[in-house]
Amino acid sequence: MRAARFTVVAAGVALGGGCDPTGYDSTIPRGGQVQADAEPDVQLTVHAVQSGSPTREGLAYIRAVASVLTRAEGAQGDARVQLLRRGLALPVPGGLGEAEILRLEMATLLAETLMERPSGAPVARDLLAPMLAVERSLPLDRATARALVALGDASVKTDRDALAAGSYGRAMTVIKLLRQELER
Amino acid sequence: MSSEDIYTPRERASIAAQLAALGEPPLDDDELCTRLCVGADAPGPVRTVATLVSLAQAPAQTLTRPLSEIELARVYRRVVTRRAPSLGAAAVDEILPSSRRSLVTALTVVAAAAAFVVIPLRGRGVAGLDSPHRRGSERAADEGLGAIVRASLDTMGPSGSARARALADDYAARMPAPASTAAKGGSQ
Repeated sequence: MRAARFTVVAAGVALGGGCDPTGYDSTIPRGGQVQADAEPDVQLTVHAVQSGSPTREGLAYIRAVASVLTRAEGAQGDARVQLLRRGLALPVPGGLGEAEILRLEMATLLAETLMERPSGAPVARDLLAPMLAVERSLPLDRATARALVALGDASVKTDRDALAAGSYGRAMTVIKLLRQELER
Repeated sequence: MSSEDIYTPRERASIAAQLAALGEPPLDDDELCTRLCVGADAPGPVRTVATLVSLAQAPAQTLTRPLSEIELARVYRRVVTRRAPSLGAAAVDEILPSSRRSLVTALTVVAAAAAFVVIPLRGRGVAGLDSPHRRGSERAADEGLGAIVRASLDTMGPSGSARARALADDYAARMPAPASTAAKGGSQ
């Protein structure tokens, strides 16, 4: 069990602009909603997933979520949404690190399903944004990267450009960290 | 496979001409093929690859005028450095899948992303990036960035129910054996 926890803080526009020999100008004035949407925030704090001692309650939760996801993947539309909402409402046994991953898997699928609806993108964004807020530490896992990509997609669909770019950028960082972990 | 299997003579000529305009050394067939198909262990800079692929697609498009070399270089750079400024193009290199198949898949996606961003801008030139149409280019850049990240995610293992079942199996395997089973095992 590891308690590794580290933060990747983006240097922001200064670094990106400074590295661009073509003279990319980060001070180009922005217009309309883009201006109000600020710069992308790619700050990321991650922690290793904590796998505690296995318990019967923990196993029952994981199996219940696996069942929810299996049924949800076989369902469509409202039925899938209802299944996933119920899955997210399942009480999480204490000390079950895997629950972070499973909840992100369910939320990602729910967000992707919501985005198929005409007005579902804002709902999907509002579902994922608090779970993936820059202030929170996120599990270092591919489920986090997938959820960040879904948040990016929802943000693009709702014209939240900075949130979209920040989410994709954070997903890139998670993938990079996972690759580094694998190479160790 | 040679680059002739990938590009028509006209596309190859277009690449050669544009590289010459950029002041880049010409790519020979082996190098072009390596970049596109075999460069699993040491993929070339994504910016270069994306530029090559987008250049190769250019003849199929109806363009008001081709981008100049500096415009072309700027467009793709903007996709990454503007939308995730602290990451830069190097980060895209690092997350790209490393297997041969994945590389080709990634190149396809990068090409689509590059085309998605480059082609709408070609008719406007660089001035369009700073005009009211800029809003659309921001969105296109975000979508291109998302496509690049998704290409990498696709190689990272199962998700959804398959992932949950794998976690359940792993968790169950770590469960301590019931006392009766342990006692039975100890008496054998």
